[in-house]
Amino acid sequence: MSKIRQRDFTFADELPPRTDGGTRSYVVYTARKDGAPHRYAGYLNAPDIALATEYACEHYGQDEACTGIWVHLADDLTETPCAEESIDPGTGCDGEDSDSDSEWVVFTQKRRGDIHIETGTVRAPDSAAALSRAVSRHGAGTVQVRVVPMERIESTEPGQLIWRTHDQSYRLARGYSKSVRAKWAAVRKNEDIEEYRKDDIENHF
Amino acid sequence: MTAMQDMMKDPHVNLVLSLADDLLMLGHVQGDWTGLGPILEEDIASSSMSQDDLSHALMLYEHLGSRFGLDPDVVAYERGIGDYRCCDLVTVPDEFDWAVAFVRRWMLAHWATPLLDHLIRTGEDDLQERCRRLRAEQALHLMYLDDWMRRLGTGAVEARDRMQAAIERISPLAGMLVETPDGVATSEFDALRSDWIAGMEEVAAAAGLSLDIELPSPDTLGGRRGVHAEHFIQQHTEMNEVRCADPGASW
Repeated sequence: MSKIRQRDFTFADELPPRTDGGTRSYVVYTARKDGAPHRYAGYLNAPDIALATEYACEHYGQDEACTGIWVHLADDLTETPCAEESIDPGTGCDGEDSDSDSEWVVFTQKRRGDIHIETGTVRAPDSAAALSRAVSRHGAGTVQVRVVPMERIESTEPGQLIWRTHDQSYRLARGYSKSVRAKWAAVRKNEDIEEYRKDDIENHF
Repeated sequence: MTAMQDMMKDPHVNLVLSLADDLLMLGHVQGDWTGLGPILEEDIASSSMSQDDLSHALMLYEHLGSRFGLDPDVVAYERGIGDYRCCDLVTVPDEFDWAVAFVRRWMLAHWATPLLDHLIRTGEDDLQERCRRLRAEQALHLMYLDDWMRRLGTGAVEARDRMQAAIERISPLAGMLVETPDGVATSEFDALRSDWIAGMEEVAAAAGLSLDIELPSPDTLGGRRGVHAEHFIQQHTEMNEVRCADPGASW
């Protein structure tokens, strides 16, 4: 924090705690390029889905190059328990898609610890039927299947600028790794630092 | 004459520097909010935009550096206080009042838009290309800030009152933004000022907030012509601390 501010100024009054429930949790997915599947990026909290999408652009949209973002309420997803091994697609029940049913986006997780990736869509009258069809069609070789109603997903506009066009390597920690390591190595060679460390150890142990 | 002196004598440079220095100082000052935003995601968004501002300043310093054979870091950090062309609104202490910090950023983003349009129309090729990219990215900031302004103005009474109070605190200082730099025709600036005020008034009206901008008299000397307040000098000194301690340092 700025030393100038620490010295000269105090905080303005804090806002009172919210009493109306405040924010809700949203799930964010990003697409690395046009037409690429959306991949789970993370959660965030926001007052509504429009602002959640804007936050997602400034947060997860700047973690890596991305051209599209999907956001939905965490409460809107239905998913299978995470399996120890692969899901048996036979545990699902397929049925004929009907245009009169809602469209559901299917996300699957290949292995425990992997991220959920958009895999396809199904049509079904409710979440249970959608999940069952998704398991039957997309569950093979995965440990978890998730469905979300398409109509509940907020999407950025096609072609919308999210990832900035200027050099953003400074945002990526990996961009610094070699030079920072080199700096640390240089610092640790410094005799003064070594002397300090000896004194420090003596004083504390 | 040094390359830096050459650069500072070019009248067109004043206009480019006015925007670059605003963005540099805004990115620096707003960086103080990192970790202290009202909610986590707002904190992240604000920090992300501050990083953008620093990058945008760098793009403009790179342009000037290539024109005058100077390292962009030298352009950014190694000028005398009187050679900075930012307005001192950027470094006016916000006393950690989020509404004040927000309104200041909102006014700056509204000013950057007509100014970038002007530079796209009048600048040389390299500058035009850079400003086109900046314009698109500053537009994202503006959309975000306008959206919040409407939400806060039409939200709870306390939110509206805080925003109105912040506008009333910042408005008397906002004219600093549109002080005409040396070497720029006042007539060029009149249209930009009108666009700036009209853009803010439209959003303020939608938010139910009242806005009254006082424009400075042409005789008023401020940051655009290198006359800076003590709070700018303090921020500049702090920003340059590492540079002064280790001039050749790179991250």
